[in-house]
Amino acid sequence: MRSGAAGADVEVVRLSPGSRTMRLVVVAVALVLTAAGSFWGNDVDFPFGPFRMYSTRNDPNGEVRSLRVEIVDQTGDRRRVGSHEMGLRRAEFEGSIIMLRTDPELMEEVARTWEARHPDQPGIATLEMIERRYQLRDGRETGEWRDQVVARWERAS
Amino acid sequence: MSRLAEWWFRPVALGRIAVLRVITYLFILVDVFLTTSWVAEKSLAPHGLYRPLTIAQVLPLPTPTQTYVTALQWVLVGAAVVAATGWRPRITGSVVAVSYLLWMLVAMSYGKVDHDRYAFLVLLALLPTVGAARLGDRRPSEAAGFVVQAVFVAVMLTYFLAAVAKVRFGGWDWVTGATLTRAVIRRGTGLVRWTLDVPGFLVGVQWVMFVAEALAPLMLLARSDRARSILAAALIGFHVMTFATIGIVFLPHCVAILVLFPWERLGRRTPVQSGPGEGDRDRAEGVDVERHEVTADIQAG
Repeated sequence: MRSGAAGADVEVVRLSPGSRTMRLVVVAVALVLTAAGSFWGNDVDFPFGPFRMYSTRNDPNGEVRSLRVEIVDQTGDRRRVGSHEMGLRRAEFEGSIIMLRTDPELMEEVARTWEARHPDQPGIATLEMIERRYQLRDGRETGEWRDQVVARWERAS
Repeated sequence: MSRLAEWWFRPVALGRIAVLRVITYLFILVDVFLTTSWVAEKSLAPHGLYRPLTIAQVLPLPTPTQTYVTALQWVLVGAAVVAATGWRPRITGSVVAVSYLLWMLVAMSYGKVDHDRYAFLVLLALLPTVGAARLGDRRPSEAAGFVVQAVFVAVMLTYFLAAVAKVRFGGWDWVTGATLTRAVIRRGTGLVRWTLDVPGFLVGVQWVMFVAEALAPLMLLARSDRARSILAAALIGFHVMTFATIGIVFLPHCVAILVLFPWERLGRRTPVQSGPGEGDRDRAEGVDVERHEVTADIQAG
């Protein structure tokens, strides 16, 4: 372990064989978990999940969708609300849209959470998640788009 | 020891670890308060939308209540500040690594998982495995070398496994699809919207991306500081360009790439010395410190 051999005058701080082995074992385990996550796992297996950013293929003749949140408050005003005002990122709403669509209690919780954080603003009468859908053809924009309400909650009066 | 095993422990100067610790732990403050500040907002997110990750289902981790998220944030920030000073790096570094992982588990449990953290988490986990390291310490260390090699592999895997994911989730015809078109439509900046009007351009970019990612393991062939620095600069340049065009920044991943630069060359060399008791502590932790006269200043230059 000594590097006192000729010419090796630089002091090298070495690891004991036991320390080396332990590190290599940890590397092997981590690599196995990471590979398994990439081949069989999904996002839920973070941090060993697949690196699936931008991995899904979008149909060049399909739609590009973009979600936004709109509210109608109790004075009747309709306006767009930033998703972060509700404690979530846009992508998180998009990832949760199935849950939001099928469970009205969740939408109500989202609305109440916003109201609790904005006590100085009028309450929410209607909460909507709206998808703007852009039509593509041959991988390019056609200029066509439409809005689709994908989840809706109304305060029971 | 086999040559493969030797590769993992190619010595790197301790001074590099000292610099990386300052950068990494101060970056955590930037991450928590600025670039990923949305995590703190989770304390006020609707509980019904919390979906625990696998690791949170296996281990008994708390549901993110406002108290938990706030407390975790301050433990993380406090530990990062202390760790950045270099005081007791093994303990403070471990606290930072664990609390940052818990912080990330909160972040990724609301329907969107980010993929720019893997190499950074590896960096956080391994920085505490090196003992005390002072700025300017030129002594090459196998423990330090291991950190650099392991993070380098993690950086490489981030790209290579992204190519694997494209085949798995997008199919072999991912390259001919409209994935980048979608990205530009949803988030494109003024710099890049023209690409929507040039037929085939974005498809061409997709081809280049996929091939480059698939060839990522070749990165590991870069051995010298110079080759690695050029590689690191190129990768960071790519991510800067991505940020300028679709507004997405892989910032934690970029911090991990920084391990490839020879930071130990900054500043004056300090004379090699060990503080009282440091040698004993290192020996107890399985590190064998050799004390030879350093006559190799010329060599190391």
